[in-house]
Amino acid sequence: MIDELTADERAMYDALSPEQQQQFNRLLREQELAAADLRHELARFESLCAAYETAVLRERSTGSADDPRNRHPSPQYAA
Amino acid sequence: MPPNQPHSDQLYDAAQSSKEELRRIIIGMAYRELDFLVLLGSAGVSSQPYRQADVLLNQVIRPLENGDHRPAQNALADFLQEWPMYRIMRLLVNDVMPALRKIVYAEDRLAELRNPHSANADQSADFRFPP
Repeated sequence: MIDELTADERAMYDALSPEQQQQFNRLLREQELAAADLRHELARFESLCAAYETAVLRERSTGSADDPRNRHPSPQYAA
Repeated sequence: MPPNQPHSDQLYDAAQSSKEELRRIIIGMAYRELDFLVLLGSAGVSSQPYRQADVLLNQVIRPLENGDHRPAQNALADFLQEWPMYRIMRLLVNDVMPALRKIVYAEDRLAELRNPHSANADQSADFRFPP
């Protein structure tokens, strides 16, 4: 990861203490993991939004949007 | 409606929960970026990272924490254009910016769908997230 630093960034990195350089590397690793979580959750969010839109349009077309009898538990969509 | 299809309200609630999780992750990433900039600033080579950290905190993180996603998205776009691109910032470009754009888009579209009197609400499915 250090190979990918810009020249300015590398100069600052080199001026850090060994402990700070470890912290630098830890932050980069944690950020990579968080980005992976973000990509995963974003895919889920997009899927839920599309499913919601489909459900709204379907319910409007069948007139069932406000009928509580049509509200079924769906644990697979629980947060 | 077939018995196994979830009601739109359930899907709406699930989408809102997912959005909150996205927001939590994005705020965490923004704070990690802040830590990173402060660390670079502490090297004493340049004061620029401290100035960047100040902008990031006040113009991006604070609006995010207040749920003001559109101003946060605009401020982050400006931030990424105006300052040098450090290694860790590539994740803001590649992951956080697209996610924020999609959240802002989805908030508008979900509000349209939630309002049965909206001019756009009766259109056929057109949930088209920005890339």
